[in-house]
Amino acid sequence: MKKIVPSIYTLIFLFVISSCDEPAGPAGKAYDRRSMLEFTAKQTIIPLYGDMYEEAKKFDSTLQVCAISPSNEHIQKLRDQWRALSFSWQYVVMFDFGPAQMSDGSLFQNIGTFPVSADKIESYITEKDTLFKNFDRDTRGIYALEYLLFKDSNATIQTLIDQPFRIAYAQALSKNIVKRIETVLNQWQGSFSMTFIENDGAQAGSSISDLYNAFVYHYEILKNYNLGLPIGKRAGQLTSEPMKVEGYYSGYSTALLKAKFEAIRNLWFGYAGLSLLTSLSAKGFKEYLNSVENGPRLIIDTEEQWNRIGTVLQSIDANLPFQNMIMSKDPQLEQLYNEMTKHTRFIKSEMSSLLGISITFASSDGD
Amino acid sequence: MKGLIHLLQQPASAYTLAYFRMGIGMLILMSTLRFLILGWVDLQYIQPLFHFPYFGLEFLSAPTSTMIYATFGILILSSIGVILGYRFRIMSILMFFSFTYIELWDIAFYLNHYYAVSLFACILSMLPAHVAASIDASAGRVKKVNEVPFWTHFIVYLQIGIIYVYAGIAKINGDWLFLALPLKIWLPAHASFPVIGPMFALDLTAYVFAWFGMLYDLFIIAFLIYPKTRYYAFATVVIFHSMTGLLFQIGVFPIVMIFMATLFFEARIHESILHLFFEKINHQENNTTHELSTYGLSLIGIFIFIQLVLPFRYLLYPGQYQWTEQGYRFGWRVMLTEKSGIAQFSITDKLTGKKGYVNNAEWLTPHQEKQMSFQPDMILSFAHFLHDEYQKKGVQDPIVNVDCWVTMNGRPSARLIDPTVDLALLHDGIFAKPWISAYPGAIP
Repeated sequence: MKKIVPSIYTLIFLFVISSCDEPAGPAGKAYDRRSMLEFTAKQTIIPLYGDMYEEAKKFDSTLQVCAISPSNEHIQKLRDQWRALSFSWQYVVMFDFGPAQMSDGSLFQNIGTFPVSADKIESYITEKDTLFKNFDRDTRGIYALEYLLFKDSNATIQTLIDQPFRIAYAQALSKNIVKRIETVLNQWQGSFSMTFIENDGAQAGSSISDLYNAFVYHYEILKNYNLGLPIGKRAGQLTSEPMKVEGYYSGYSTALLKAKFEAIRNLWFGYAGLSLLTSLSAKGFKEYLNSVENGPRLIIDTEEQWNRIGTVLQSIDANLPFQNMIMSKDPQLEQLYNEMTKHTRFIKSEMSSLLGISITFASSDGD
Repeated sequence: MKGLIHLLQQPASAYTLAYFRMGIGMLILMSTLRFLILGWVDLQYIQPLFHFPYFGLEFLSAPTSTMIYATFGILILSSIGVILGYRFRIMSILMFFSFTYIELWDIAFYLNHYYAVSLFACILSMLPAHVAASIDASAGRVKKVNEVPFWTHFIVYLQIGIIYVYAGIAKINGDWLFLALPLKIWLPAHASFPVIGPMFALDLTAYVFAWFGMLYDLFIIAFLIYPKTRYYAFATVVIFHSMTGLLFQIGVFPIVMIFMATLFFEARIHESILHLFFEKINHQENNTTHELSTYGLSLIGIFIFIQLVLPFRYLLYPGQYQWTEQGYRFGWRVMLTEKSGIAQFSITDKLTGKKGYVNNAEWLTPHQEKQMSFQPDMILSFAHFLHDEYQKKGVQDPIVNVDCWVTMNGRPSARLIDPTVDLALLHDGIFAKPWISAYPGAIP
């Protein structure tokens, strides 16, 4: 008896090893998740964080100049620089995992919270408090800067001259943003990218699960918070709340929403740097789906739905502030919300089902 | 029948029962400690703002955090008591009730193997599993004996058998056998598995696993019972459950089933294992009477009846149970279908007609939301919760609708619930739910 059990194990082990030499079936070879992760890290995540870091530094140095000699010209330059910064942010906000999960909250929570609270920002300025040792995340980040720069377009310079601490607060915000982006970028450029690439399973906590969950989460943020909440689609809301759009003070709200949509969609397509210009060298969820059972069918459904949403968005003028469209009750917003809601069945439930990706962030048992 | 009763009255080892007692106690203790260490008490029971109650047992759902920790405390202490055989009867009853009570807090965490452990704990609490190798027996609180009637073993074997055979029966369906679904979806995700990973990308592997899994479930018990095949069967059990344990997140289930298979070993093996912990076994000691009491017979009868019939209750409901989920739970449908859904709830103020959409994540954890999204009774529970919440927020007599789309085994999503029905007006019950939409198309 003692010899039987080890013999069985050996036989099964040999069988299993020999099976590896069999030619791959039509469904094919296993999808090379590792290579997809490597592509995403090296061609998309690191360059995009790099871009944002450059924009943040440029903004910061322009702000320095502005602090020394506030002028209309400098303020305008600063505003243009803020615009570039906020657009580059739309392309990295999804990668809010790994190094972006910091001890005091995620990068998204710390630099991307919107809408900001004008009252609280004013109160911190009055108190001359730039330590950010609080949980008022709606008083810092990119959109707190936007408030300071765009709130009152004509009086901004005068306000800055009259209240010098405003510019000090803006500088503190800007430094905080630069420091955080730098930390995340350094880790990605250092050891984390290898950790990310090597963690190529599909279970909770794997890189593909992190990437997928981040993709879905930010799609939901776009649908529920960039769109649903301001247009008054949330249950219990009595009216629309146009002030809650992302980019309210600058008026870039529609363009930012479009950029975020494009970034999320391009992540699904796997375009390097999330740019349409690189669509020929794509490697991402679409390619992964193409390798799994029923995946090609889901690709057709998903692409059709991306196109439906894209068509509605295309017909919206990017220069028209989103809040204005909300106030004029533009019927396209309802249509956009419905199409975006419809899409969740493809990218949230069907896709996670077919790829066998754990949708939960923490692990738990199933059966 | 007479033959069976005679068989059930035959003497059998009290040490096998003691081994069962210690094994169940240890499994429960181990899994409870694991649960606490992983922080799941907080994550699954304290953090969520809403819990999905079982129909008819709503009063057991959503206990306070003090109750939650107290129950876990009782479970740990009672499982230690059970392992040691200290005040066994009361300890085993406490262990059964506390374990089951925890399972009844939230349907979202229903697992077949928790149900199995609950049943084993229930059976254990009714057996004389402390007459040997226990503190109770050493202290003279119970008469120390070597033998117990065979029915006390039989009921455990029967439960193990029911789990396997019913799991095997559930696999006899077109999707599982002829399309190798959902294995064809699940296995390729594990292609990065060391050494054997590339195999999982092959369709053939999914078919082999599907057919082997079905045959394994149906016949493993027979091979475990038959002495000549017992150890080969056990090796298969170890390989099968280790494999599923490594591939899928199924927690302690593989260990539970591997342990259960060891119960089929000869009693001398159980005796020699227990001998490591307890005094030398004295085979000369007196024996118990082996007559099967009316208590024992009726217990077995009721138990067999419920266990055999309950999984088939789905036949009483219209539609395909894989889709409607009516009669799905408590039926040993283990890892049978891949389902996922989207449940978009809307709230309409009856007075103003203003309609708004709910973000489920405001109340539910990702796991709860995922489970709810394809299970109609959970959808109804959540709808009632939303009705009350929004009424509190000032919505007048809220109408609660859901647009719920579910995908099953990789097929295109279909609507699960009639989106025009006001869920707030419906009540859960054991009868068929006519508001569940039929699956468009046939499920093989």
